[in-house]
Amino acid sequence: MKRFLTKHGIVVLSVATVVAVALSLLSFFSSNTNVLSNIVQTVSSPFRSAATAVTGWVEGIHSYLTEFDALQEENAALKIQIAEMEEQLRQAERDSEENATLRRLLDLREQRRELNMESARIIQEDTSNWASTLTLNIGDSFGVSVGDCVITETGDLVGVISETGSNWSTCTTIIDTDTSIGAQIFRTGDIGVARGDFSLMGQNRLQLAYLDADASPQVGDLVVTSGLGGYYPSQLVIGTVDEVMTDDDGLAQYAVLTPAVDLSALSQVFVITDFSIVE
Amino acid sequence: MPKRYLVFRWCIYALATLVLSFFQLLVADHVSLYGITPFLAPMLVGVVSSYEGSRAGPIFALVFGVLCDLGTTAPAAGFFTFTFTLAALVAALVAERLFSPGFLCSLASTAVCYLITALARFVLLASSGAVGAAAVLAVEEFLISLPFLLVVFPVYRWVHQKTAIDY
Repeated sequence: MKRFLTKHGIVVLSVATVVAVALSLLSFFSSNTNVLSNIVQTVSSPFRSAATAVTGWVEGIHSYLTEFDALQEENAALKIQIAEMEEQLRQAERDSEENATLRRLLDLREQRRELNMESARIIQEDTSNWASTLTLNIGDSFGVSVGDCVITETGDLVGVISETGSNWSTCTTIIDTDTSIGAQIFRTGDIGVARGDFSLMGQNRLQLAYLDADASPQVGDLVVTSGLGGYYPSQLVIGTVDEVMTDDDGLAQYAVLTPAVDLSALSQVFVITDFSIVE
Repeated sequence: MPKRYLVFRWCIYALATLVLSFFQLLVADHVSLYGITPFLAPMLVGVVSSYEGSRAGPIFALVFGVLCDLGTTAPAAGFFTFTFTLAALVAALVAERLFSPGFLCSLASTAVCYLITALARFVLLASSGAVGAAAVLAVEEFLISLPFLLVVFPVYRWVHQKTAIDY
């Protein structure tokens, strides 16, 4: 054993340590992603796209064969929902006109919300139990940078860009334990932090922590990004309150959120490369 | 052992690992029990180490670890490189001393690899206070991944048998 460790084990382990340290240094000193990682990800990007296409095709056939009745029911429910939303839209248009008139009368600055977006396709979903990330098919060359928000076509927050390469980028989703985003309960305006949690990640849920002692979240409350600090745009939908819990010490409360977005059903997303919001 | 034979042998191992990586991507990633999906990488390291021993096993783990670090979302830079090499070394030593190569031997070295990978994760998470939840997750991940040994083991046994020659 001693002879072996001197001869082989220690040597291999030392090489592994040196390589690991080299990778750490490369990662530390690179502004975005280290060169080696970028090469591997760039080369493997088409293969991952192909694998995703194959699984998507198989899942599509499976859905076509098994979900026809459910889709018919969903279609009927959606028609009713569209009718209701059209009525709400007409009301909103009237409210918007009234709002503009009142703002003019009171000489208030007009609200402005500009989001510059790039469309992206998901080429790989990392379903590891320890992280929840999506690999997108656009990167540096499209102006994507670390910290950019990723949303769906309906404005629901998917996650934040955590790594970029030339033709790819990694989006850390909102349920990942590395994610921490300023959030706000839409109904009450209570501020908290939406963050991933190991025990909730498997259930596709996240936590709304650091709520004020007098906050009063209720099940069903909509939670949006707060936009505080200006890092992320405000009013992006994170999800709804599913449960209201008390911390182990019994002093603070937190809410368990169900994301508005179904992370497993995503194929197309939008990266907010720049934003300007005046409220 | 001739160099040409060694190259051929490890090319077949690489091919088998590539096939099993695609198996993870196309099949295992879509299996989910209570929200937990199987993670086969420590199993690949464990089974190869049980067959190739404490000399070649850790070298395979080192290369595989580097590729995992570069191609996947690692908890920290160099995490898989170091963890898999250490796991392969310990697993191979345990397997060599306690079992003769076979299913039980692969099972034992696989368990050792998952244990060392989990311990390394706990070290990284020590400051976050999430070690308890991570421990539960590690046990669940191991139990859900274990049935896939019935897929991984025959593949590497086949490679080992087909490429093994006595010198």
